[in-house]
Amino acid sequence: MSEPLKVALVALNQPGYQSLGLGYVRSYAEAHDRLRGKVALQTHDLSVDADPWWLAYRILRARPDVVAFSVACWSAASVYETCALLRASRPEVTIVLGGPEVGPIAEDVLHRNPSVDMVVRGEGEETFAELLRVLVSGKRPWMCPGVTARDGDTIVSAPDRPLIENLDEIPSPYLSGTLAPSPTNAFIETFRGCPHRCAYCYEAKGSTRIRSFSRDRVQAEVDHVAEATGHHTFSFVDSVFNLTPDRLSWLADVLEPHARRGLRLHTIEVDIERIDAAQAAELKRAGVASVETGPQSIGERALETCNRAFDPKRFSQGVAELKKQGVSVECDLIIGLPGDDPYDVIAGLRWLLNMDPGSIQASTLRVLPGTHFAATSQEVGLAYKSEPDHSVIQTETMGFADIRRMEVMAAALQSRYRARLH
Amino acid sequence: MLQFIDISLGHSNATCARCGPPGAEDPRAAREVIAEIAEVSDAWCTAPGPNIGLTGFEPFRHPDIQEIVDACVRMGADRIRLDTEARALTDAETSMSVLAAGVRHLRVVLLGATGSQHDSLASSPGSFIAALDGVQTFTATARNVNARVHVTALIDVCTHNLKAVPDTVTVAARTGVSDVLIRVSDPSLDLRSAAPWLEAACDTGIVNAVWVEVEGIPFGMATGWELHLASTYRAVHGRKAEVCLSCALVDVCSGAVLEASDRILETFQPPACAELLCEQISRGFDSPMERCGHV
Repeated sequence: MSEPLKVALVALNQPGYQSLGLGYVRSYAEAHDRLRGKVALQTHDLSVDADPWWLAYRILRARPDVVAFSVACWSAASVYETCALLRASRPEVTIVLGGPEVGPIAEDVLHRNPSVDMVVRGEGEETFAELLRVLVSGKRPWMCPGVTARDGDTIVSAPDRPLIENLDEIPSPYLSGTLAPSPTNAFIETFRGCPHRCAYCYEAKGSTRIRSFSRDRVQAEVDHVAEATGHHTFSFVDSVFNLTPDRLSWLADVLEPHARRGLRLHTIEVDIERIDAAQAAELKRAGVASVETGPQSIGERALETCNRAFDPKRFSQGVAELKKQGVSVECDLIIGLPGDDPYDVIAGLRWLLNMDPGSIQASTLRVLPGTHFAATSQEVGLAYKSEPDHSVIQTETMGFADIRRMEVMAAALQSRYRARLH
Repeated sequence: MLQFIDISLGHSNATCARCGPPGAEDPRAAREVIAEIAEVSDAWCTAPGPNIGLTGFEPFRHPDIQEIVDACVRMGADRIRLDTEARALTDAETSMSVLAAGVRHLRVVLLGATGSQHDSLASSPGSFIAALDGVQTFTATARNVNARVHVTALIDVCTHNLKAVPDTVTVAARTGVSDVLIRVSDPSLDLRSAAPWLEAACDTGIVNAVWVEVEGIPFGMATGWELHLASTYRAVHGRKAEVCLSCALVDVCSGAVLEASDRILETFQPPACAELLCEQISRGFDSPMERCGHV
């Protein structure tokens, strides 16, 4: 019997974090009947701050046949440099990329990075497992749906792969033992998709359809993560935690026993305008300590361009209800949205400061691959870095210098706001 | 935005010694200060309480500073700021005590970009290095105990340090301050010639990722005057009215839209000091409002 294909799964995370996405990819592949005994997978959750030379050293020590990176906008530059080092030192290794940074621009990534062999587009679990099967059998990878790969000197994209309809087909990385919950930064996902289609965001991936994990599966994952030794806090990656009142109530039922024992959930994404007294009470019951929400902008032109609704009255009421329950609200603003000028940004900051939500986070627009803004950048007048992290350079309503000034000013205001006693 | 209510701890000489003879330093009685804090807190109608800045007399030489800060906390202050030369904060234990007492904001005076300049203008040998060390010790201590603090470098501008203001901003940024406040306190300063230095100071702040305000506002946003002063916040690049060509600041101002006035006012709510700054900058116009097309 031949040696199994050695596969290194690599994610470059913020220090202390681990990749839930790689956990899914690995648990799916390990459960795949036709891969059993034919592949050996190893996960490397490494720091995005690490030197690419050290990253290459760490990865090569595992002597992999295949190196697969999960790539996000914040890690892409390091990943590309690491790939070049891997290729130079191990020409025979197969290098695969996947993730939101590369999937939507797969051919472009391959054109610009000769050290990369292929890119997995869209949801990775099924495509990557299929790709491994193709590699094991020596077939041509570019025939595998969802893969873009080299065929000699040309780059070929196989057709897209449909989304996984039944998410429970993906084994839980926690329950399968593939992923040990991080003591400080564990994440749980209860559904995929987003009901909103914000022009700057890739969360919905072009579809507003929601696909959920079964309630039994979520209950089991929550119990497992919460009961693991020393787990007093974790979070959810769901795009909207309060998707429906019924779902929120069910999640509160699931989480309440753990909340009674001291479990606290942080930076849960919510649709703040849906939050009334009842929903705020449910979030409190679930042990939610802090939530994250918009408005991203309060400028009418920018909101329209972003395809976002904003009702200041309902927004304020949502914040007020959460404050009554002792839940801190982090309100996000994006600097450099097309349609906003500097005064819109300042008006947004002023509006949030007057509301005193608990935390304010202003960040610069990043025009991410696959988003509506990336597709319509010329139409909406966006100039941005083509290389990651895709920060906006200027818009028709905010020049380069004004955006840089707003970044610095907002950072100073955030610092002034958060330095407080209460 | 996020205004502080300043309460005086007494007269201070923390300004340029060459601009005039120092007056007698005079700490204000604690009971008076505390009574004013109580008055401010009583008048405050929303929770949490007010943001209180303790200004004037050096707090670490005030005999009752602990009692005064305790009173701020007791009366519900949300943010407490000390205006200080920061020499006392070079001692990590003192920095820790200040944090423990509830102080999260500092405003530290810098009169120059070098030790010789600052110490000479402050008439206090060693005070420049002490100020920088104090800021760094305070912020490092705060990081160690996970306390969020905000440190502002206050640059009092006069004829004796005007040309050093951009370099002073650089020094402040390297020291790790959160932002810089430039206060034009010398009434004899010719602000028409000072404006390029203030503009350069603002831009120095931007490239060093530290926000610079002039007199608490971004370059004086009062009615009609943003044409001359709005280069920090201009709405449209390069757009200038014909009247701008005769303006004293034409070389340093990039122009702004005429109709931005009301909006800017509404957004910034400029304090009264902006009017003074604007008035001085626009000396030489017979009727500046008319020239700017606002009347």
